[in-house]
Amino acid sequence: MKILIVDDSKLSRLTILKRMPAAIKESADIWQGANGVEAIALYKEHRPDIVFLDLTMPVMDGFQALTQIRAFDQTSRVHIVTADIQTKSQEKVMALGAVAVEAKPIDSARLAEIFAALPTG
Amino acid sequence: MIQEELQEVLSELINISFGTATATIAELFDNFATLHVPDISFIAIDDLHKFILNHFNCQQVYTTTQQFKGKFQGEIVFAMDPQSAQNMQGIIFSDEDLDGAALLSQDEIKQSILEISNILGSSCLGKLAQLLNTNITFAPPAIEFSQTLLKTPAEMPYQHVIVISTVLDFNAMEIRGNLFIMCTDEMFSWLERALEDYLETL
Repeated sequence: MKILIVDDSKLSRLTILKRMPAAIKESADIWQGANGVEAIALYKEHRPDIVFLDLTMPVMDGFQALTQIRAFDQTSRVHIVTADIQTKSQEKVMALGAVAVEAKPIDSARLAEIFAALPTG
Repeated sequence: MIQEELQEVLSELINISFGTATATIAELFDNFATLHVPDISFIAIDDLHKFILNHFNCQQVYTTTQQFKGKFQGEIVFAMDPQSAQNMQGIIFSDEDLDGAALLSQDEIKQSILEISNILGSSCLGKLAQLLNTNITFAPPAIEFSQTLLKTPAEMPYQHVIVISTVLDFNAMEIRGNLFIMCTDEMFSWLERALEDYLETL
C-alpha cells in the first residue's frame, strides 16, 4: 500500500503515523509533504492509494491541492485531516471530491476504520 | 524557556483549539472564516503592556481579561485594535438595518467584543485543556478601552505569557487580535509536563 501524508505540522504527521494500524505502517510505503505543492508533486510521482491532507498550510492550501489532485486523478482517495471544523469547509472539500473530513487530532480507531474500508487488490 | 519540540506540540494543539473557536464564532456570525494558523510566541509579563501597544501601533486598544481555573490555571487577555472592532461590528450587523458601526455606542461595541473574546478564549483554552486531559472553568470576563491593561504587571501574579496572534478572516474582513495566556512558573511547568505526556502517549 502507498500512503501520502501532507501537513505543515510535523506533530500532525507524526500523529497519523503513530496511530495508524501497526500492520499497515510496517508494510506500506509512506511519503510526507508539508504543503499543497509538495502534495501534488508526491501524488503525481507515487500515485498513493490514500492521502491524508491538511487544509491550512503555507505555499498552497489543502483546498487547492485537493482540486489539483482530483483533476489529475478522479479515482484518488483523499481524507482531509483538519482543525477547520466549520460546516462550510466540510461541504466545500466534499464537493471537491474528498472521501471524508477528519477532525484533528485523528484517533487510532478512526484510522483503523479508514484503512479497513480501503478497496483491496 | 520552553523546548523547541514542546513549542511545536503547543503550536499544533493551539492550532486545533483555535479551529474549534473559529468554527464557533463563524457559526455565531452565520458566516465562513478562512482559517489561518495562529502564530505562537512567548514574552515576559513585564513586556506585555509594551507588546500590546507596539503590536497594534495605536494609542488605545480594547483589552478583555478572564481568569481560568483548574489543574492548569491563569488568566487570558484578549487585545483588539479599533479597526478590527469596527470590522467585527460590520460582520455582526451586516444583515441588519444599521448604517455601519457608527450608530453603535461605545458600550454596545464593548459588549460585542466581550462576547467574542469570551467565546474565543473559552473555546480555545477549553479545547486545549481537553487535549491535555484536563478540565478548566472560566470566570466572567471584563473589558477596557484604554492605553493600559486593567492591571499593571506588578499587580498580576504571573511570570509567563504565551502570545497567540490570531486572524479571523471573514471574506477579507479581518478581525485581528492577540490572545495572551498568562500563568505562573508553577503552571508553566505543569504545561510543559502535560505537553511531554501528550507527545509520549501519541
